[in-house]
Amino acid sequence: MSGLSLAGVNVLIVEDNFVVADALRFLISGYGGSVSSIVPNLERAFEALAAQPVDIAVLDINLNGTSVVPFAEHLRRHDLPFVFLTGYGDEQLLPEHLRGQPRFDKPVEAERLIRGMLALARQRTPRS
Amino acid sequence: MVQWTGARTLSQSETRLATRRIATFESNPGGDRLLLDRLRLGLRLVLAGIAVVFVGQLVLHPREHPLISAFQAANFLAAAVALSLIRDPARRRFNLAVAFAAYVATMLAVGGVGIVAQDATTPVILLVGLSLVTATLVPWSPWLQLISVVLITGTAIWTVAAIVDAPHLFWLQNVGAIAPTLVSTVFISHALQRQRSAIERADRERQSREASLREANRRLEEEIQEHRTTEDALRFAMRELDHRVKNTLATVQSVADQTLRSSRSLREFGDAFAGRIQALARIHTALAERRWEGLSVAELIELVVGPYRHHANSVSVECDGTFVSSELVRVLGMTLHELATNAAKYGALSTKDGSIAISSRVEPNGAAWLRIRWSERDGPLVHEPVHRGFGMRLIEEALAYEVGGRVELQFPGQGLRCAIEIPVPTAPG
Repeated sequence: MSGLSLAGVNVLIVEDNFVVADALRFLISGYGGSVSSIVPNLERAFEALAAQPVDIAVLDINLNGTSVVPFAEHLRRHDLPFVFLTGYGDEQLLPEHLRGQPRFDKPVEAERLIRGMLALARQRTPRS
Repeated sequence: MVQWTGARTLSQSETRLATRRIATFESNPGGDRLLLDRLRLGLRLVLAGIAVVFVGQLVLHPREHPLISAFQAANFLAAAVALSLIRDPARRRFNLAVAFAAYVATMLAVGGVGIVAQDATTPVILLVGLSLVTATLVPWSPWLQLISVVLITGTAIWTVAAIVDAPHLFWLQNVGAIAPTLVSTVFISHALQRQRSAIERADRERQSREASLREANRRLEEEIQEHRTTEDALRFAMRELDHRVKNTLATVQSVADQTLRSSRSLREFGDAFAGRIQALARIHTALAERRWEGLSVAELIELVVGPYRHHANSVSVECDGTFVSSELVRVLGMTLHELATNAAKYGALSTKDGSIAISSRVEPNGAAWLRIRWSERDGPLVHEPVHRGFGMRLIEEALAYEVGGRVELQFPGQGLRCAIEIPVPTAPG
């Protein structure tokens, strides 16, 4: 696995498609990450955030027609790192101040996604 | 987008232009200007005529009767005043009245000069000339023209009768004066009438041309608007399609990942993966054929479970006519596919005698719930799996995850049972 490890990192996955979310869960677990939850919508995302420890979130931008932006802004306010998953054209849903956030095109390239998540997770909790 | 906007601006300015042109035409008919020009030209000719006669008389008969000079001077003055008075083409009646008065004054002056000078020939010639000028130049009304003819004729008769001794010349001079006047009056009046109706016709034609131009313009704008709407819809559809393709690819990738994780051999992977992708493809085709408006539950079951039926009675379906949206169709279809493929591998459809009964109906229970019962029988003895692979996870979790449904699996010995409950927004149709 190229020496990449998400060990000790709690991940929240917000993705409306079960199959995609399920595969992401396995992907991240495969790199040692601990997936605290997979959730399909904003309501469940806020619930999961309150109930479990989350170090980083993976956000599908378009949740069955609803924008994930309110949740992303909430994460930003609480200084929690997150990355976006995008289908074609979804980035138009993002306001200007969120466009600098790491984005990964669907279908996801596993290693790029893990690297991106690791970079953010390390920034937040620098380990020696 | 830019080109359309340009075309729109152009067409609007053209409409404005056309409107202004028509407005100008209505407030200033060509006839008024024509009348004024003719009246002024006629008066100038009269002035020139008087001047020529006056100068001629001074040269030829310098010791003429002073009354003649007075008549001519008064006549000249009257014509000049009339000429300076008529300037505004819009004052049509005023212009006509002033010019007509000037012509009458000239006739009377010419007659008076003839009487004083004891000369019939000169006035007759002048009157003939004058009648030609007025008749050819001025688009009088028929009544004014008649009065003009009567006055000219009367003056000529009066002049001649007053001065000519020889009665045998009387008729000759008068016929000579009157005939051309009458002929030219009738002829010119007719020509003018034709000219005026030609102008009016041209005016009407232009107006109708401009109206049809505006109509064409309006249609063009409508068409452009239509095109733009279609274009927007198309662009939207393209975006939607791209989005769907990306999502589908993501689904396919995830299905491949998960199938791979739960496969023990490449062959097992191949079969399971192909089955899942084919089910997705069949669902896609059916939805596309119905323009993504959804499918009835019966259609969906036939589409997904039908291919696993190994004889006519192995799958029985009993449904009401409930329709489900395209979003729900995808996840429900995948769930049903997993149930079917599981039955074909381990359950009722793996033996010759086994069968599945599927029923589906919407039961209003507060909100409306779609309830699907799946019962297998006469297959091999089943028991709850110890390890739950991707297929089982999908059956048990996907509907709950995506649409808030409930799925309950039971494994009594005689065959698997599955109860599915999904909240649906609308009552059965």
